[in-house]
Amino acid sequence: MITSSHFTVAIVLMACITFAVRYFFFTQSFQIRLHPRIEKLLVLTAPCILTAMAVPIVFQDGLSDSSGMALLSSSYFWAGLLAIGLSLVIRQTLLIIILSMAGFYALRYLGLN
Amino acid sequence: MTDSMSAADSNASSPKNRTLAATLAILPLSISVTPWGILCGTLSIEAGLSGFQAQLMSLLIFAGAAQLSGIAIFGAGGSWITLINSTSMITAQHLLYSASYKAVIRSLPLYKRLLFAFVLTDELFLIAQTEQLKSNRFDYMFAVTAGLVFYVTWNIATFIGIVSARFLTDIETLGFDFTIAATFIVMVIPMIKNKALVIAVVMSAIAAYVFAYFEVGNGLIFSALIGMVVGAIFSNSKEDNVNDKRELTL
Repeated sequence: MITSSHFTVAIVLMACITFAVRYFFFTQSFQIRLHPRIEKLLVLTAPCILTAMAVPIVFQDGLSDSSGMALLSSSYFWAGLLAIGLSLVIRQTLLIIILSMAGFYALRYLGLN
Repeated sequence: MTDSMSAADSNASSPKNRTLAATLAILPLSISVTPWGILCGTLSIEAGLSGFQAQLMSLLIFAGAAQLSGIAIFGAGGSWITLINSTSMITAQHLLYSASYKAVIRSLPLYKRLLFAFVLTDELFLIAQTEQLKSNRFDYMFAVTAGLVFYVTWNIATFIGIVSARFLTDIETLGFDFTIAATFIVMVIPMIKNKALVIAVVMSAIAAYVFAYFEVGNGLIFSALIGMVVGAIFSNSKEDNVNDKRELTL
């Protein structure tokens, strides 16, 4: 686990990773070519990993219940669906986040988990 | 008017005008990225980072999606392995950009290569490509200027987010994980441009659910990999290939 005393080190580590990826093909010490199939995979990485990070949060109430029925009374689930719906219709980042958070808090106020 | 011709000529020759042109070219993207910068700043503070650390993220990492995933991991008390894996996978797409500019950048002196790599974001790639299609040549100064303007905007936006977080501290931290999820959703949906991406994202989502349900270690990475592989298998339709080419040709 990364504790708060190590946040700065973690940030520097992340910076090294992102820089190394961007610099990768600019080194003069070796020559590598990307296979077209690898290129195809690389286009898919970011959306896949972001999705994989969002799912356990949005579905957390369903995951903790063996039948999955708790999803129906989960504010995370419904507000998550709201965020998906809004993203399909409008493009204003902050507006979508503010609206779906408003939905999230409203649902909790109404008594959902 | 003949003015437009001479203006175009002087644009090509005068460095001052090129700086202005680069700034104007990246301006719309700088504006549209501002909300992400603000979010990065605010959420960093909510995840428990200091103001300095929050700003340091934007100063050193300069990659929105990677920063947000890092913030989510810090906030949730994730492991070093998760941080390393998710950061490298999220930024992996930059390998494509790096590969695209290999031919024109590799021969430059070290400091120029380092500088270009540092400012090589999705947005810069887009702007530099558009400019190159227009003028038929790669203009290093144009690209780096646009990249630096974008860097400054990103950091100002982050700073605004950090300052705003000070006013929000009393609002419940309970919704932090939901805000992160909503942020990722808003980020992913516009990325889904073709059938392969739909399949990849849906497969990742299903896999992530199953792995989370059975509490599989490193489920995050495995579900992303499953989505990517299945998506790639299905990305053989002509339409997708044309789209991919349009994004990649230089």
